[in-house]
Amino acid sequence: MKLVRDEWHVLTGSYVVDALGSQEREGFERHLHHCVSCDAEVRGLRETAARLAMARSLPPPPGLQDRVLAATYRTRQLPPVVGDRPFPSRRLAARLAALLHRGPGLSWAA
Amino acid sequence: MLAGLLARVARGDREAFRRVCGELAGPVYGVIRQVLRDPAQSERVAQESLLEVWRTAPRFDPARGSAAAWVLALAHRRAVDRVRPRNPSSRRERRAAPHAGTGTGPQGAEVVEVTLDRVRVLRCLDALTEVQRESIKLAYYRGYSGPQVAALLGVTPGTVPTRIRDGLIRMRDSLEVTW
Repeated sequence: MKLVRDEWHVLTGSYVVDALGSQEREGFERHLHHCVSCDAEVRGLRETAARLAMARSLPPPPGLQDRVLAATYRTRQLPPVVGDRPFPSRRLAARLAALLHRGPGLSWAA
Repeated sequence: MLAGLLARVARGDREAFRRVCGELAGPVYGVIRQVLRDPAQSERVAQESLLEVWRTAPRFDPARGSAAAWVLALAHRRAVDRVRPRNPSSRRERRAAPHAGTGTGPQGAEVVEVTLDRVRVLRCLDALTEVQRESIKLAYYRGYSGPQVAALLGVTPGTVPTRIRDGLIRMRDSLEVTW
């Protein structure tokens, strides 16, 4: 979707209450990546929406938490997101691997 | 405190996860129930949501918001994806549900926990203009899309996003929500 900046900005509230259609939602999320003011507003409104949820808290059904806990034993967690630079760097890793496989070209012995 | 627990959950700490569930299972189940109404389906979606918290905890970024808001946004979206299943994310993100119970519904589920905070939030909602309040309630508590809200309120679809945004901003400011 192509919208100008102000047209996106008006969608912050609709985004946090999940009132956007799927295409709008995806477009808005792309917009959020490079719009600091929308991103900041979304954070505050998301906290506000959370208060609406808290206000509707209900006692959870008995056994719900036990079943969820049991399911964690068969559910792998996502890895954390890390920077795209591998550590140690690929070039350094390749050099180390080469050294280990072929041995050093020069003797390290004193 | 919850953010610290989620950091431990991210490292696979089940005791921390048990405590997160203890804090948030009520609001998670409550908001899902608001949207879906059906107790058995709500229970399944609540289970999936909490398991999703376990699965995606390593992606939680405490610099971007509170742990409660992150969890509740995740739960709300999953509930809405059930009532508006043409959202592609519901197909992409749907995962096998953990085994659900018999799902006859919780005892005393209708007994809503009355807290001061709850009263305060609902008062703020009441203080909005009628269109702001109804737009937010239909979207957030009933899971309707912007155009569906517009149809129910008999207003032009283009005005709904502004109503929702203005209403939430007023609530944010009067509840002194910071982030």
